[in-house]
Amino acid sequence: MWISMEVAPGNKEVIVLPQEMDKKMEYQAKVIFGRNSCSAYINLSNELDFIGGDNFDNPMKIIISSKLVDRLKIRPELTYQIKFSRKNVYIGPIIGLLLGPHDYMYSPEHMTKYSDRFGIYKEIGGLIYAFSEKTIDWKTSTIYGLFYNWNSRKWEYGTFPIPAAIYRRDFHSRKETIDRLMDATKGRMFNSWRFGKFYLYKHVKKNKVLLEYLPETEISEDYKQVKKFIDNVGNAILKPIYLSRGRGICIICKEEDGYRITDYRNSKVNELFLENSEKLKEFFTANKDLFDNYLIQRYLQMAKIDGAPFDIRVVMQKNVQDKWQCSGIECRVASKKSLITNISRGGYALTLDEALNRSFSLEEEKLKKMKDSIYQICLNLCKSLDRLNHHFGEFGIDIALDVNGKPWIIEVNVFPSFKGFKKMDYDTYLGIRYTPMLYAAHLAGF
Amino acid sequence: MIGILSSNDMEEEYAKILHSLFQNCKSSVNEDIVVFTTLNINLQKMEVSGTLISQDKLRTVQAPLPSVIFNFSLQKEGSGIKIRKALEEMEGLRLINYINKFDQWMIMEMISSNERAKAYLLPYYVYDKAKRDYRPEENKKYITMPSRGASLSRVIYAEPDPDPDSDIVRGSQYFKKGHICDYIDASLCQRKWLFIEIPDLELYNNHPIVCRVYMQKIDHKKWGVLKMVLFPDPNMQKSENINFQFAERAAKDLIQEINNFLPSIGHCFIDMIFSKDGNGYFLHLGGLDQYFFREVLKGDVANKFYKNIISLSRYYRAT
Repeated sequence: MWISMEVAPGNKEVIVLPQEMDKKMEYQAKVIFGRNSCSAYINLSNELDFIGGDNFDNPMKIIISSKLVDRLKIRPELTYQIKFSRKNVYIGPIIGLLLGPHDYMYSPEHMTKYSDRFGIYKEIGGLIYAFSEKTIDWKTSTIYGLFYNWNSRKWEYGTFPIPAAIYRRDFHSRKETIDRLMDATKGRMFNSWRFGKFYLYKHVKKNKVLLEYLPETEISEDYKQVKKFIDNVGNAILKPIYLSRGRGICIICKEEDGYRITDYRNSKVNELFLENSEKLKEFFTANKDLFDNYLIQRYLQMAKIDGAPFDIRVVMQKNVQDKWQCSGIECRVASKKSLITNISRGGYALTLDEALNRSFSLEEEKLKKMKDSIYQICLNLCKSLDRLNHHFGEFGIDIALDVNGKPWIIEVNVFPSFKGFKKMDYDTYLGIRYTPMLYAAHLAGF
Repeated sequence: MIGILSSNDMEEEYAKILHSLFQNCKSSVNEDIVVFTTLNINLQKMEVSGTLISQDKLRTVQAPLPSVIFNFSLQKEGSGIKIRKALEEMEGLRLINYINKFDQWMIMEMISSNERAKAYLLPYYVYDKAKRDYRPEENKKYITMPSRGASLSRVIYAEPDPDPDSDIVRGSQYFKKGHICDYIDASLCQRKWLFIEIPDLELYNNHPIVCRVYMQKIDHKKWGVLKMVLFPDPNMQKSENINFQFAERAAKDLIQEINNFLPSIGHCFIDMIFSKDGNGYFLHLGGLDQYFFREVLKGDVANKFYKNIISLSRYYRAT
């Protein structure tokens, strides 16, 4: 049921409902707003009309005392959903977006980049606010942040209760805070943890079904080990464990006795040919950072479109049935002459159908089989990651196809970017933006 | 050990000033204090090299990154900002004042969220140079200033021209030393300007009188006032409408509210302006400015400042 609120002055916690709502409610009930709750008197009045409440645009009006508003930190100007049980009244949903620690950055202006997620707001309603771990006052269970005021379509500062569900949007918060928030929300914070690339490899390696889709990967330790790896696999890619978007990558391809290096660590791509292993050793001696939190992985002979390699970004998200769904797939084609596919490096996006058609001339049925196989790998991967002791709600899974069309798991991002979708397919982009909000509302009990 | 992060070109000056002042403040609560810049932080080794100011003579030292760092710097270069952000994110380290230059519109929006603090705000409007989406009314008085920063030399007081046949707005600006360049830079570069609709203000030579309240956090939620200074002339004759007690109470109310949203702030100033009927209003929030270090930080103020640094560091280390 949808409600709007009128605040009446009063020094007791009171909710006034239309007379017709005498649904075996107790005279006193516990009112739950996010993780805040208190006991309140439930009064019935025949001065309130028992009309509306069937949708966001037609809420039923209730009266709420100013004491209750202050006590539970209710924003009465918003439209909420309300649920009743014999002893409890739930008003919500109350959803938090956990941002990073840089509190001075989170202005109403900064927050406008989240506003397009509110195209779905009329299905959710309630209080949705953004906060930093730094602005939580644990002593009073109060959070200072910015909420989206649907009436003014603006982000406004305010004081809020601990939310019922949290959508984590940044991974720089301290572990201690994350643990406390997980406790406070009873595990209803999703994207609760971000794993590194090698952790993913080690985890997936244990899964017999997924193992065959994993390219060989090791932690880059020293020259001897790295050289052995390159000599074994032929072509290798060195990736920083904790960076994304193609940053810090270096590709080494063995060519007879020499090695071709394509180094993306700086803004200008550095290409060089090293004649022998002595020169390779000199290269690594001069670039010791490649042994510091780097992993080395077989560099696949990837399928190409117009001579440029491409990979596939599959967005997997949890839906309101608590099930993983594929919300979007985009193929990222490297810019001409580039070996890496990140759009931030000048690549471009295509739909999966278009990419497969242009790269492999296959019959419809075989293409469908290929697509099904990609989806199944992603679904198994999500289910496998769900077995970790963390709460995930969305992944950006990078899959590469080799020249034979075999899929390989390249990377799984907990905080993926969806920029390609915005240009390529705006409806899909919006769907990706909305799904976590709906999932958060579901977690919050609405 | 306590750290003081200074701007890249200020380490020597801050080290000298603080060394000479803190020598006289030493007591049983002494601790080593090291002044350094972002250029001399090694994040991988968690080390700093800087100037140790807490002993009889200044000397350069290599030391572990202190667990409490007071940021008195303004970072303009990307590399400095990157290091400061890494300090903000670091577990087990407390950086006091992530930044020292604030967006006043953002601060006013924070203040607006609290009914009590909101009483210190005058109506304010944003003028976005790119959007040109606000036009001030010609029959009202305004203060105009760039949204970012808190430089008084950039505050423009404007009132309607009393000549009805002229539509020129009469106003005033004042500049000290080289500050006219700041103004020109601001005029050219800053995208967002604020228009504050003002009542009849207490003026001095046609400039609004500003009371700058220098403040420092004493513990988790408690703030103390270090000093209040009037601008444009600290030695001017104070009218009875400028009430220091009111300014102190207002500044404390305001910083309590702002601090909820920006909890890293541990030292700052708040600028208040005064109407002819004796009310005070918020103008700016800023980190401690160079005027504070060069002119205000003396005698009792230095003593208080030093003790607060020590006690706040201990409080943070203990929690």
